[in-house]
Amino acid sequence: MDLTDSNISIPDSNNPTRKEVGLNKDIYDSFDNEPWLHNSSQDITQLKMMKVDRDLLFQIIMIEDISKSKQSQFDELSTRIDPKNQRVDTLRNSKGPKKFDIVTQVDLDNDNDTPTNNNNALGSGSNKKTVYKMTIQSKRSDIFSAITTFPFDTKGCYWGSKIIIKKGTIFNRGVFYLKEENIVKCFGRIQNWMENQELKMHFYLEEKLKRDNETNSSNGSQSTNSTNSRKRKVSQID
Amino acid sequence: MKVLCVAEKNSIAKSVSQILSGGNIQVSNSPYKYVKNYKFNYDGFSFATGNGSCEVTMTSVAGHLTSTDFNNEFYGWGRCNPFELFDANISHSKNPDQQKIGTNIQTLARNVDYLMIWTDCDREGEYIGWEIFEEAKKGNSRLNNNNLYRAIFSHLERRHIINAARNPERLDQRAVEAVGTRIELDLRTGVSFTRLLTDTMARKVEMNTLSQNNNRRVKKNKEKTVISYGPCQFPTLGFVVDRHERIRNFRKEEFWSIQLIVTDPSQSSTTTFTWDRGHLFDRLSVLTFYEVCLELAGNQAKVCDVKSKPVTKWRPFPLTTVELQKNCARYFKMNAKQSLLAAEKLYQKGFISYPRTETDTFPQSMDLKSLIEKQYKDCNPSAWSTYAQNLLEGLDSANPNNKFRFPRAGSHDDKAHPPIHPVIGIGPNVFFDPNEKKVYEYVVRHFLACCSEDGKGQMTSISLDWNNEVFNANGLVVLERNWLDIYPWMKWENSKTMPRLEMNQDVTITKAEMKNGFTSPPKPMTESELIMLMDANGIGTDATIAEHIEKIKARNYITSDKVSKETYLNPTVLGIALVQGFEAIGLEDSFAKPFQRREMEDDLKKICRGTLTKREVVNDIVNKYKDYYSRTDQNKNKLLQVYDQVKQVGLTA
Repeated sequence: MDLTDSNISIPDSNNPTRKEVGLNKDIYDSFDNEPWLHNSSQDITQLKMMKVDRDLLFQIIMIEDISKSKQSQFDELSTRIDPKNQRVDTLRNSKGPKKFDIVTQVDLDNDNDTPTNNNNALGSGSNKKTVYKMTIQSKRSDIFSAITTFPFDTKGCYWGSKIIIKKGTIFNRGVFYLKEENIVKCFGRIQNWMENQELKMHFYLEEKLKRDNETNSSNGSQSTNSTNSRKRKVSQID
Repeated sequence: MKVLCVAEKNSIAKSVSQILSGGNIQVSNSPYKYVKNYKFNYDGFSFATGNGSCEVTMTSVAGHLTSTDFNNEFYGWGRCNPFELFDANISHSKNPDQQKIGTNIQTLARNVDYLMIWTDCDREGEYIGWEIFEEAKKGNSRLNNNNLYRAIFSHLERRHIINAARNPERLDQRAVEAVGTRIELDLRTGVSFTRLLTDTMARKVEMNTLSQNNNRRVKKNKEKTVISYGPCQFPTLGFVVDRHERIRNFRKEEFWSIQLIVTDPSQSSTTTFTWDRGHLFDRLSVLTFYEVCLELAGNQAKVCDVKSKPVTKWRPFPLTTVELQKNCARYFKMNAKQSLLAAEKLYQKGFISYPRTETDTFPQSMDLKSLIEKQYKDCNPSAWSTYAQNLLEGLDSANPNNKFRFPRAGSHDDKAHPPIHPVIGIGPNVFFDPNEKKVYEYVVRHFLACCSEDGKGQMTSISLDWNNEVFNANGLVVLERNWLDIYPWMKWENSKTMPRLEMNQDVTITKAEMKNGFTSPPKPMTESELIMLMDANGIGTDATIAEHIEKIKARNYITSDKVSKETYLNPTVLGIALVQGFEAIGLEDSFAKPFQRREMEDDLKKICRGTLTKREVVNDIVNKYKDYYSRTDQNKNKLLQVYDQVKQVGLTA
């Protein structure tokens, strides 16, 4: 079910099902609540440290693992989609059929106990430190971001899944700062969004990489000269 | 009783003869000038006990005794459709040198009671042993499987060789079949595809080379261009091309992270704590973390973990061929061919054990202490003789804990040879060849490192909690270097001193920074990387990896380019065009990827285990290649088009 569908009807507040404590009640209540910042004239990127004052229902448009580079995710997906054509020159466990498993274990400096500087391969699996960025949509079609700050299991979270962001959550510059205690996963999915999901994600990553590089190039020498240690923001704390 | 012993090389025959004879040998020439015949008496063979001393003749071959090829009259280049080669009869022939060696074996075998094979103990050696047996039977029809023996040895140390003579085994017929399969498949697939590719592309490649050379005013190369195919060459090329493609298609990405700086007033020093999450590829998300932490926790963090634990720097595993080649490339910038060649010469001189081995575990029964002893008793003082002596006798007052320890056991055992190790101790002045000197020193140092104590240190880790986000700093104190003292290529040093902080202590943050960086493109392939990739994916063997790399260089598929101190391998236009050409035809997984070869290697292992036969494997793979051939033949134009495209795009685009 698409949350933005204007024909959605839910039991009214006097209906007995609305009185039963449980997930349904939470979904109905949060659906009924005034959507977040709808019709707000403010620039949400300038809104800092707001606290959510009611439970809010959203649907997930996309989940991205932002702990891993897009290039490495793109490569992994490419291998899964077309294992025969996978590139075989770097460390990455094949995700394809066993016949096309590739052992590409080359970490020449492993003996040195020094961290590798290959930022393209941050490990293939997610771990408890992984941060997911969700693009979420309210029933009024307003779009926000949310980031996970706790070990988040993406199992059961599909494109179109519903989540409730609870009262007390911090909202900063258009981003919900999600803690374990203030998010409820309501599962579900939107089937036509899910069709060819891997191919869509593949295309998205490819285009995003292209766009980011065009941006980097157009920034020209500023970006090049800034090198790897350019400070984006420094805070001197007294 | 008369015994004929045949080794794989003259140097082995000579060394074994000297050991078994105690030095009492008669040497005579053979028809081939590099092979000598050694006659002596020996009474230690188990199969001839009770018959007194045996009259032994020891000789050798010089590698394979026969060449496998097609009959040139019917199947020479241009005389048949290359497709016919998949089913054509194969003949075993000898070149003039092989004929001389064969004649020598036939003559020497004429009156012997036993034949004993002393070829290298690997699959290839088993096959050469079978070639020798076939040749010897031509001179002596009484020779059969009952009076044929095989010596099992891996180095030329006296006791080891005597033990091999006393405890012979039988020739492994399944290993012979496996090598025969590999030879037949390599021949059929290699020759047919080489002719197809050369006939299709050579003219275009030559024209291109000519025009380039004219532009550069370089002398014309009159050698005919051959575009060869080999089932190991192409996957080897594939690794290099894939890396090139990855670099070419690389798109840099920006990432962000947070770090905290804490000042320790007692030591007037600062410590940087890095974010436990590493870096994230989304600026707004990191900014959110940063602003929320700053807003809610200000400049206050709390120590949430303090650990001080002993850490170990493991000594290396015993040395395999691939590890030797990889490390000689890393430490001495020697290519795989050079390091293997030097190691083989050292083996032939009796300085080190057999250098072609996959085994990284020493047998528990092996007397390693006596090998260490040789490093300070048998030779003039060397850079490592004092270390070796201290290791056994515990005399090093600076490192009293660094005493002999039996090496760690790795997980590979080829059941044929132990890990590479020095057999005797020799002084630094024995060497004339600088590569041999480097490789010998490396083998000795690696061996001594294997037999030493692990490095010991103390690692202190402190974690800070800043609004539930964790930041870490680590400090290492090296307590005992142990094996690192003999292995100068490995660095392990003290790091910066850590601040004195206790669990739950509140900490004032001096500075909180949000920093950014960019991903960096991978570097071009180095030879040591390529060796490891080939090894891990079953392309070639420890013995042939170096040859395959050299072959694709010789064919001008890749070039070896020196940049600063590192040498990188880069594909040429032709190399890229071949890989991309087969991709365009739809044969990507069969040619430039390692899948096909790995399947064949698995099949050869099954032949060795007796679960498949040579005929089954040959039929299966030849049928696949017939299909690949037809598809390639139908799509020849695609290969040419891709070549033109790659040429137009250029290597650096």
